[in-house]
Amino acid sequence: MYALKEIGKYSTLLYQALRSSTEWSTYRKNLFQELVKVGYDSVPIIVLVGIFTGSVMTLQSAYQLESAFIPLSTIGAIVSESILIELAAVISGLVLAGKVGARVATELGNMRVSEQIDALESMGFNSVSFLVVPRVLAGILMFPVLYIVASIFGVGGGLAAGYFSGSVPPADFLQGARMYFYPWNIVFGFVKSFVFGFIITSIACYKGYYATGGAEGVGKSTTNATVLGCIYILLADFILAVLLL
Amino acid sequence: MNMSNEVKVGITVFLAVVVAIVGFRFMRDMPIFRQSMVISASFDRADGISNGNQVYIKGVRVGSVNNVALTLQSDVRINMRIDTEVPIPIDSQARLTSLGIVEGKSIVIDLGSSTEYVQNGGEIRGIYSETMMEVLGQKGEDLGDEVSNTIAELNQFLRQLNETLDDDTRTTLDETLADARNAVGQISTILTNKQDELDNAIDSGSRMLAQLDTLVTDSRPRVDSLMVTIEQSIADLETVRVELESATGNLNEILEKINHGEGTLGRLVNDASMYENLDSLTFELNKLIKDINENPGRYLRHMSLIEIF
Repeated sequence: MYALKEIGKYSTLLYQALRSSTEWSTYRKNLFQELVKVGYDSVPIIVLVGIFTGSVMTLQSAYQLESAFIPLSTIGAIVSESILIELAAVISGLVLAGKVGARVATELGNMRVSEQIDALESMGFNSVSFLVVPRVLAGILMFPVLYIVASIFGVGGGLAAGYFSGSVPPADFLQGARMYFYPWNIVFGFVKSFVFGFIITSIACYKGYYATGGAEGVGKSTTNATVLGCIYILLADFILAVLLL
Repeated sequence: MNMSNEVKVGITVFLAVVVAIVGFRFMRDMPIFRQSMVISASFDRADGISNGNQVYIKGVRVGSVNNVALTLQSDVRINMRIDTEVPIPIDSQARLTSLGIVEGKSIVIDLGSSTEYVQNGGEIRGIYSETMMEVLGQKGEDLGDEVSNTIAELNQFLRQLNETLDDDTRTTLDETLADARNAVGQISTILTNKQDELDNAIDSGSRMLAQLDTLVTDSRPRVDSLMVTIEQSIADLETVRVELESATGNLNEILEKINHGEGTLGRLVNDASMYENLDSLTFELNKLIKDINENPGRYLRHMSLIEIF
């Protein structure tokens, strides 16, 4: 019963957001602010995530595939394919669930418990349009951008790790990466990052928007937003893999 | 630098899009800032080839497979992107093969000798060359057939052997074996019974050998002197031989001289005139004797009996 009620509230909030997404003038300024906070400010951490994911993948694949019968190009294929299909989207998603989701949930929760949202409503602003729409839109728009960043730095990091550790020459790495490069994998990655962006921001907005119970309630809703964001990312990852592959 | 939010977002998105496009072209192995040439080739089959497989000319990578599709003529058409300045003659061949046992498939273009070159979108001839593994696979099937044939024959042989070894034969065999065992037992008994005689025979044999040995030892000095005498005789014989040789040499010399008509004997042998002279002399003598017989007076005219006596 509780779960159904949650789903109902969540759907209602999303419906309101969708309906008010046409009020461009209301959230235009907020949208760009959010785009910067979600996208621009997240680039450094995504670069780090990408580089380390890629290099660790390369080193560990090289360690595991240490056999005379497996060509080195296989490592390149494994690393680049895993990054493009799975890791660039999912690991960035998990990191951003902590970074973006927590921030959004805390912001909105604080606004809710300090009654700023009520103040906005009383001033005649559509609070959903003003607060929720720009954040969710920013997530949807910026996550694919961050996916590109993560992919590039992931594959680049893998290549560099192979080169510097001496385990995989760049030519072999690239040969393998190119041999198994299918454009559909990129489309799949984009779809994933798009869905993850939506999941993280919408859950964070929902948890923050309906936060209750003072500072403690804000903390609880932030935790919920992060944890649920991570869980639903993994769930969505599985469903998308079943549907699209 | 203090940038407006719009600028920051714009920069991020623009860079991401540029990087995405460049990265995509890079991963598809397309040249990033120019178009590459696309040529195609048709193959009977295209096992193991897919987009992104490499294209080689003389071992140098020049491009990759772009598209693999079935055609209405039920062969496979493979488009390749080629990024090389080297022109490809129109009679070149694209060979679909595998460079190693574990490597994937790739396309090798064997350059032709024509002076006309393939243009963008052109087509060259394609041949599917079987790789070692495929050949091995087919050979393996043949081998498997042979092995199963052999096993079938072996089975048949064993079955026949089984049938031959029916109860009768088995009984016969058993009897034979029993007889053989009996025979061996009898031989053993005989040997046991005759043990003493055998021992005696062996004893006397060895005694005889010992006596022979003693005999040989005793007669050694005599044998030795005999040997010395024989050796001396042989030495004498040698001298005789030498003398004989020289005599033969002299004789040879003489015969040679005779042959060449030297000396009295030589002339005698070689000159016919002497014979002729003798012959005529004999003839004359005959005539004279006959004449004397017929007319003794003619010759005795001058000699009286008195004078004679």
